[in-house]
Amino acid sequence: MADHTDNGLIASIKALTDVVARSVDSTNPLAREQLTLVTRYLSFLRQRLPYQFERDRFELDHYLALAKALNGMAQNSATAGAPLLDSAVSAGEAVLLNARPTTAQVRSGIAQLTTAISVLVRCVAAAEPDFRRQVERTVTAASARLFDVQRAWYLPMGFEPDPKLVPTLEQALAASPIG
Amino acid sequence: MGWPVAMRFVPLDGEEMQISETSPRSDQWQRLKRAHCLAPATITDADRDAPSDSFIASMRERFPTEQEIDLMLNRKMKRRAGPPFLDLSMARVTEYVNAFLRDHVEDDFEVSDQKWFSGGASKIQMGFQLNWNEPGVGRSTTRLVVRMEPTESMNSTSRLREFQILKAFVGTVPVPRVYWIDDEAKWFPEPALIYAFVEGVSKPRLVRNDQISGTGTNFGPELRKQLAPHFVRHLAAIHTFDTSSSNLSSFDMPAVGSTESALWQLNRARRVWEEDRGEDLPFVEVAANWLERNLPVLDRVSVIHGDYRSGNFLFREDDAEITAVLDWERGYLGDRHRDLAWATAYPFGHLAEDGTTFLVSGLMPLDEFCGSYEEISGLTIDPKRMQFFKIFNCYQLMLSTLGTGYRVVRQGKSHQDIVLSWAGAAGYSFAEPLRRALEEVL
Repeated sequence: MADHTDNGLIASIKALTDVVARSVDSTNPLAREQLTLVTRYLSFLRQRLPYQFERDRFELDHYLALAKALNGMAQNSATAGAPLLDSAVSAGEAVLLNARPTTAQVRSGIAQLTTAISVLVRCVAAAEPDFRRQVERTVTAASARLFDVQRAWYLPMGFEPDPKLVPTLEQALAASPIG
Repeated sequence: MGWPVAMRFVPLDGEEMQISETSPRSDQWQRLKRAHCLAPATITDADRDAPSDSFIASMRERFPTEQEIDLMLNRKMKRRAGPPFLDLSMARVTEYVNAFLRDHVEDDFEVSDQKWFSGGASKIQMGFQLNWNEPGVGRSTTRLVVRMEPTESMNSTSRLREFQILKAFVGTVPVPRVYWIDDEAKWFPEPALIYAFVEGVSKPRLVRNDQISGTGTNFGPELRKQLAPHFVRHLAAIHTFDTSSSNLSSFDMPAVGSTESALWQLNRARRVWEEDRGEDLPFVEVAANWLERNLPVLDRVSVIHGDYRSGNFLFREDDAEITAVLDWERGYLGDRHRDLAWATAYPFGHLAEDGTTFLVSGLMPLDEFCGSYEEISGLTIDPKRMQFFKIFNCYQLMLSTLGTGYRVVRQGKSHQDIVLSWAGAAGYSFAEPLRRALEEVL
């Protein structure tokens, strides 16, 4: 299948660099800097668009696996966040059971899970220390895989002081969702 | 385990509940706890896009912070539902400048050679020349810069604070001379100040650097050797500055021997996250829990620059003299370790040519930086406090880039939305060091 959208992005970048850039006021550094960033953002988008749905799916897998791990701990506690977490796990599982979930359904599942886990983490701030520690350590350890994906995603933007420490996007997306 | 005494929570139904350590299991405490815990599920995007008075009041009550910061955040939230930032033409800004000067300059004057400045993500800056009859000098031409907030920015900061602190530091460290302020936006559409243009560059012209100015600046081996001593000396001078003879009325003085100062900063960050974010991130809540449990006791009040790093000073390339320390907008009175942890943060530095030595702000190895700072300032660096502020700084950077950056761009509130979008990508570069640091202490 020919990817005409990608062609559109190629053309947009070419128009900005070959035509528009030449007509931007050379004494306006703000305009020149913004044009450079717009062009680079479009190039970034070209690289990442093919992975967008995979990334969303990874986030859903990640937060669902994390929520299930936490749910096991929370259901035996008196924490106020437990019912919300339980219901978010069910919602996330329902999205995964759908053979062809839409991007909107995947993102809605992610949002329910992140909200429920955030509620739980806030609740455990005042909980018994062992339970709190278990929850906080679980979230922190699991976040390594999520951050690998996000850092790999944004790597072309050049903010990583040591890029070789960041896995490729393909490696990060293929890894187990919470380690 | 109770909540910190200084925190009060107001559930969204508006009924205030005061936390009390003495009755941690009261019904009131239980309701408070519940309201705070459930906030991620009860505050919606609509609340953040068009905040009601009760929403703003609940943020203020839950997250008490410095008075001037409270004013800035209230202003931001009250105007959030308003229109996006409309691009300002140079002619329009010149009109504002002329209107301001007509009320502040005697005799005739002329504004000319206007130009936009880039390099910053949060403030609108226009340079110009003013031909005027300067008091005590006579007819002369002065190169000036007007610095103004966009409708909303990455940092809701105070021009009054910036004005006062720049005045205070004349003669102590190189700062631009500040001339006038419009802190209530009577002449400009947003609070603004006018200061002297300073010659210099923020990064070397000949060393390749693909990043936006200020992140991981590569000065090159020769220049860094010359700049590094000045970088440390000026920070030591800022932290040992005697505030008693300066007008710093917009700054709150925290109590030594208490955790008040750190709590104000944590509350400011938490409030901003609650007001701005577009998503829930459970890891952020883990970090907030840890910070709240580990607030350091203040041992000495210092002036904190707030953004001391490469990219925020100008220097001359011919003699490597620092000509101005810039961007004091996040300055406050508090714990020096906040600046020390910021200046040494991983994303603001880079590895030396050997591929292993980390250079603080691209200038010098960490041990050299710390040793030199202690020797010049006579102040100690406490590893425990450094640890707290390293974690706090990563937390705050993560919140700003992923939370505030998101909201400002979403609502088109600034002149540099594309820069903020780009900078948002740095959020996870701050998240991973934060995660590793927390893994060690949890």
